[in-house]
Formats: sequence, C-alpha cells, structure tokens
Amino acid sequence: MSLLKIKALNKSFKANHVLRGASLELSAGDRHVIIGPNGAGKTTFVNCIYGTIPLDTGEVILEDRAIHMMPSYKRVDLGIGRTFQKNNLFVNLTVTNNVYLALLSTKKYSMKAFKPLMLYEDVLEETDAFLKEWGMADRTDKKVNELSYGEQRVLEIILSLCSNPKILLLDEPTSGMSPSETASTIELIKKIPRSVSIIMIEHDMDVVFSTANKITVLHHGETIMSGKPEEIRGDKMIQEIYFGGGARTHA
Amino acid sequence: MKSTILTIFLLVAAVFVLPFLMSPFLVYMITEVLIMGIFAMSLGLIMGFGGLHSLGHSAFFGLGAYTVVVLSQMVSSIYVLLLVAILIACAFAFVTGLIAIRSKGIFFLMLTFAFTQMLYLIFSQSGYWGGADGLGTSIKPNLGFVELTSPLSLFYLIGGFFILSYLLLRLFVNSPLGTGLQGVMENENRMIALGYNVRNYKVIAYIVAGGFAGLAGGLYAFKTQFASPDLFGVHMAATVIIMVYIGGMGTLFGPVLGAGIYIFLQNYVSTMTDRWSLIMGLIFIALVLFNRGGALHLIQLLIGKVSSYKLNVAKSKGVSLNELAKNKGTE
Ligand SMILES: Nc1ncnc2c1ncn2[C@@H]1O[C@H](COP(=O)(O)OP(=O)(O)OP(=O)(O)O)[C@@H](O)[C@H]1O
Ligand SMILES: [Mg+2]
Repeated sequence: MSLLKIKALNKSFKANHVLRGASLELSAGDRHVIIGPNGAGKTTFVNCIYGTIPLDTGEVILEDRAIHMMPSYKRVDLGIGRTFQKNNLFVNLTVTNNVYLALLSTKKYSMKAFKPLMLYEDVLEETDAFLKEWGMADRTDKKVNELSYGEQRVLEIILSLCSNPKILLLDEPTSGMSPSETASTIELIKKIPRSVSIIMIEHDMDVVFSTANKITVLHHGETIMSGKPEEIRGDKMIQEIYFGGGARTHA
Repeated sequence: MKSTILTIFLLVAAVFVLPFLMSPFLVYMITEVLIMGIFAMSLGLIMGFGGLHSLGHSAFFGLGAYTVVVLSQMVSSIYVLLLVAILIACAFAFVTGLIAIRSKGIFFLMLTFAFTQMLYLIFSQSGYWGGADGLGTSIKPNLGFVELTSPLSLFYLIGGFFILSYLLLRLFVNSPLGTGLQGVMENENRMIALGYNVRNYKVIAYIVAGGFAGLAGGLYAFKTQFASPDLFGVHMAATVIIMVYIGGMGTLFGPVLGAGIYIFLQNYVSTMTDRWSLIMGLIFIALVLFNRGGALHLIQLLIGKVSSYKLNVAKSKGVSLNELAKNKGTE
C-alpha cells in the first residue's frame, strides 16, 4: 500500500522538456533516494511534488487524494515537508526565530491579527524543545548568517521537520558538506522517526547506500529504474551511466 | 509589557500637556503631524514590516477625506463618518490589493501608483464632488454628547485617535499575523514552503494599512474642511514615502518621527527660504545613503540604545522572545 503515488510527471521550461513521465511510489517508512546526473531534473521533480512550481501533466496522489493542483500551503497541511538544495533560510534572523516562524505556521491561530504576545508562549516552548531535540540548543541566539555552512544545512532540515510532516522531501541535504559534517548529517537523518517517510535526492554514494531502502534513477527527466539498493548497484546500465561512465560522483 | 504601559502613559501625558506649552500655531501644526503620523505609520506597516513598497498609498487617505466631506452633507456623527471612511478605504484596498499583490518590486509600485492615478482622474474630471477644485464642508466633530469646535479640542480628538491607532498597529505587528508578515518580508519562498498562505498575509496587511490611511484621511477632512483631487496626486504619495524613509522603516514610531520632521521643516524652513524642499531633499538623500534606519535609528545610535539595526522579527520579536524566555527561567 503506497503512501504517495507520483504518476508520469511532465514539465517543460519553454523548449526544455525537463521531466518526461517521471514516476515514483513511496511506501510508509521508506527512505527512497533519487539519484541521477546533474540537470536530470531531480530538483524539478521535488518542486512539482511540493507545488513550488506547477506541473504540466501527471498526478501526485497522497493516500488516494490528488494533491497536484493544490497550492503548497495545503500540501503542507496534508503532511508534506521539504528542504532546498540551496539554503533557503531567514538569514537575518536568529536560529530561534527561524524555528519559531516554522512552528507558528502549524498553529491554528497563525493568521490571527490584533492578538497580544501572550499567545506565543506555547510556540516558544516548542521552539526550545525542538532545538534541543535536534542538537542546536547552543546556537539559538546566533543569526543564521553567522552559522557555518554545514550548520545552515542542518537548520534547513530542522525547519522542514517543524510542520511534523508524514513525507519529507530532502534535496541533497549533504551537498557542499565536509566529510565529518556529512557523517553527522547522516546520523541526523537516521534519527528521523520511521513515521516520516522520506524522498531524498543525493549524489554522495556513501550517503545513498547507508540510508536508502529504495533507489530510483532519474535520467533526462525519466525515472529509468527503481528498486532495492542491491538491484540498482548490480544493474549494468546504471553502472554505465552513473557509476562508471564518467558522470559526476562524489564517492 | 512594562514598556507598553510606559509608552501609553507618555503618549497620553504628552497629548494632554503639550497644548499648554505651545502656541496655537504649534498646536495646529502638531495636529497635522499626528494625522500624517497615522498615515505614515500605515504605510510603514506594509513597507517596513511587509516589504510592500507602494506609491499609491494616498489613495486611501484621499478616499477617507472625500468620504467625510461628501457624507458630511447628510450625516453629522463622527463615528459614522469615520467608520464609512475606513470601510471605503478598506474595500478599495481589498480590490486593488488582490490585483497588485500578485506582482513585486517595481511592478507593485507602478500598479499601486496606477490605481491612485485612476482615482485622481475620476475625482478631478467628474462633475460631482467639486471636480478639479475640490469640495469643501463645514463639519465639526460631533461626538454625540458634545460637538468639538475649538482647535484645542480637535487636537485632543486627533491625539486620541493617534494613540489608538498606534496601539492597534502595535498589536497587529506583534500578532501572529504580523510576525508572519515579517517572515514574508525576510524570505517569501521559505514562508511558502513552510506552509504559509503568503498572499493572504499580504492582502490582509494591505487592507489594514488602507483602513488606517482612510482614518487619517477622514481626520484630515475634519481639520481642513476640504478634500481635493491633489490628495491622490504624485506629490502626496511621494511625501508619505519620504516621511517613512526619513523617520525609519521597520518600526512604528519611525514614520511618525518622519512626519514630524517633514512638517516642521516644511513650516519653519519655508518661512526662511523658498528652497525648503531642497533641504528636505538633501536630508532625504543623506539618510538613504548613510543611514538606512532613518532618523529614529540615528537617535537610538546617539543615545546608545541600539547596537545594530534590525527592527523586524529579529529585533522586536527576538527581544520579546528572549524576555519571555528569561522570565521563564527565573520563575
Ligand atoms: N525554474 C526554472 N526555469 C527554467 N529552467 C529550469 C528551472 N528549474 C530548472 N530548470 C532547468 O531544468 C533542468 C533540470 O534542472 P534541475 O535543477 O531539476 O536538475 P537537478 O537534477 O536537480 O540537477 P543538480 O544535480 O545539478 O541539482 C536544467 O536544465 C535547468 O536549467
Ligand atoms: Mg537539484
């Protein structure tokens, strides 16, 4: 029984046909990693699932419910969260205020105007608890632009967890990280409870094979193969276009 | 909390005491500062907290003024007049906001400007409401139990509205919605990704700002007994932007200070030299170039109260968040 069915997505930017029938099925608890060379359309795929950009044709079905026409904020309500390949944070605000804004969006009163400050206290407590839980308690009063790049990358993941998503879309969470930062980020991702199913784009093969229970290969906008890590690793064609054939690999 | 009470107290005390220390001309001028202060605060709300730079904010002010002048021929209650002025301004903000908020930056600026120019044309060309000459009235603020006739009572009335507006806007800025609005200004894309319905935040802020500008316009009509199409002109729209800029964006009080500086210079420097607008322009340029935080920030720097200028979520929110956190720790 799959949680999320992504069926035959097509997306063009002018003459650039980026997604060509890309599909994917996510089951509950999956760590489903998407691999593929630069420019394959991986980020575009995530953008379309999340509603960041509209798709041309295709369907995204969450538990029997078509969500691909909904605006992002409705998809978030239904339990989808995401991170960005390029850090997308409130750089001028403190870590606390970043998380605070992320948690506030989940509150029923987030649109209340002319209500006093008192109402904020429960978000504040949650913010503290959240930062402790995810190991950023010592960074609370730092502004984001004072954090190291790796810390910003981690905050990117933490923010996406604030809405308590059922499904998390991670776009290259370890990109640009040092080996040690990468290692601790893998640990953090492993800490995410199984009640959260994950679709993750990743280039680093160590990360891929240490986290994935399924892998889909996206090539020129097509999902050319999907299966268990062993199957993908053993496949001739995949080895040629991805592991062998001079395509970009960090591993 | 303490600082809020103190602020209210100081404002009320100032409004009460000032007239005894001042000449009638000063009272008259400060009345104008208070009206323009409400107007500038309302623009400051969307500019400094929402990142929406409007060159058409005078639309709401003008609509408020015209509403009071036109309706005063039929109605005398100040409550009804101002309420309708606010509602009409809000309605116009709602309709134009829905359209303008789809665009950003310079396009937003030009769209808001276009809507206001449209009003200018309608009001100056039409045969009703006095056309290009404008329309006069002889309405006195009628509170139901008393009719205010003296300039001093008008000053108190407008002082009251000013304090009320300031407090309401402050509440708004610190509300969940106001906080979200500041998040949108910081990083709209992330706010969308976090699940905020960003468009609604902007439209609501735009309507609230329009409503307060409408109130300011309505009060202005009580003071000047007159409304003319110039209220929708470029000059008016630019003036209020300058007030917000020189006073300081990202705070509520900054724009009020800007209105004060502007009006004082206009009244005093213009008695000394014809080139008062040149002086105003130089101050404007200097502040834009050297001190983005405006005059308020300059003062804060002088008295050493502020180390860095960041008066949106980071500061106003951060400070109060930290205060809350501290209080918790000591409990
Ligand atoms: N918003 C956009 N407008 C126009 N073209 C775009 C847009 N987003 C992506 N593209 C194009 O779509 C193609 C795929 O880009 P995408 O970012 O999805 O690739 P990717 O697989 O994530 O690559 P990478 O591994 O470098 O992150 C590229 O040719 C890119 O230029
Ligand atoms: Mg990408």
